[in-house]
Amino acid sequence: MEELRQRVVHSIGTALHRTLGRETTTLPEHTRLFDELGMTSSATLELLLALEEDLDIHVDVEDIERRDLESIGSLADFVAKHAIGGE
Amino acid sequence: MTALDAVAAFLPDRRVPIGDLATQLGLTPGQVRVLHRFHGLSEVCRARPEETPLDLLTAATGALDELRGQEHRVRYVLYARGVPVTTPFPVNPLHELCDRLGLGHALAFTVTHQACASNLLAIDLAGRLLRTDGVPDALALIVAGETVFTQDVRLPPEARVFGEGSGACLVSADGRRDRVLSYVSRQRGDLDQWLPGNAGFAERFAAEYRGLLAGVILAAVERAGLRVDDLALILPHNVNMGSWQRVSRLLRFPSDRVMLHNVPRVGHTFAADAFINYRTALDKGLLEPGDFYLVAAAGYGATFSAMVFEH
Repeated sequence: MEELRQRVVHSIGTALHRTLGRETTTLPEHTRLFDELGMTSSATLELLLALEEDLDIHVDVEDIERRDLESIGSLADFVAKHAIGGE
Repeated sequence: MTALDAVAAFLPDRRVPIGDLATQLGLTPGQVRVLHRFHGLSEVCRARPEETPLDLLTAATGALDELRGQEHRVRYVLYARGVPVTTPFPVNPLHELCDRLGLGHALAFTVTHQACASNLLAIDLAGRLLRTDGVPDALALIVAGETVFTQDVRLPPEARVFGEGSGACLVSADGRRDRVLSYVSRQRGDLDQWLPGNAGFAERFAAEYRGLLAGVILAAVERAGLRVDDLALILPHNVNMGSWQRVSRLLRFPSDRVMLHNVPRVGHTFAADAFINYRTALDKGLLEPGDFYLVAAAGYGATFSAMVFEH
């Protein structure tokens, strides 16, 4: 799971770069998606869908809570824990 | 005790996939996917282009068989409305409806102050007016239903898409059918989207929404002298599936007892959700005599309301 989590973190940086158009691949994991990057709830959910596509995984989102979308690290935790396939 | 003597609803037979509304709502393909995947939205009911709010209200009251022959008992007609403006001035569907129904003698007015939670406010208000008057056998007629009309409600949705439908109900001060056991309404003006300088309103609203809705539900249940487990059913407002699943978890209430049937196929019909969902629950046999159930509503402004009934 740790290996997948590292790939998720890397993929978040790449996907954010595409979305925000600025250097994001070096952002620390505690970077807050809402407060620091100004993302909306809908934009963070779009980010999760982009990760599924980039990593060829399916994420079980039934239990997702807002706190899972708070930061790069919390999103990576959730995706790594709830990913189905892609190994 | 305030009671609903009869409830009717109407849904247009036109269903529009939300993907077909993307251009009109300014949605990207990614946002449409989010509405599908995370919010469980699929399609919405929409009136045909030639159908007006008056047509919607006429259809709902047309299905209210219990009104026939009882028009003389109706003292009040309340239009519970989600948005202040639904037709171009001077068109007034409420007064035209009263004329059509032979209710010109009734005092007719609109309740819109609590946006999409105005339906429960209207029920409470109707009951209090009738009780204050003390006229035996008097009734109030509540109608709800509007079309997507102003630019405001076409704004890109974060988590809901408006549908179009209508409802009507007869309220009495002392009926025995669906008795109101409690009503709690809480307002949070600081979450008003029109407050000057209220940037970030949508995110704050989203962050606090679940706790505020669960809080008002628990308060209404407690005021009725019940526990949330005592509820046979929660009739939600049809905003989306995901938020209700999370509210259910917070309440520790089984999500299969929240009637989400209409959310993916009807959409959020402003203040008409309560009446449309009640009819669906009844038609699907989900309410037995003596069952306790709760109707929940939330409106921009922001208002969170819950009403407990005994069927």
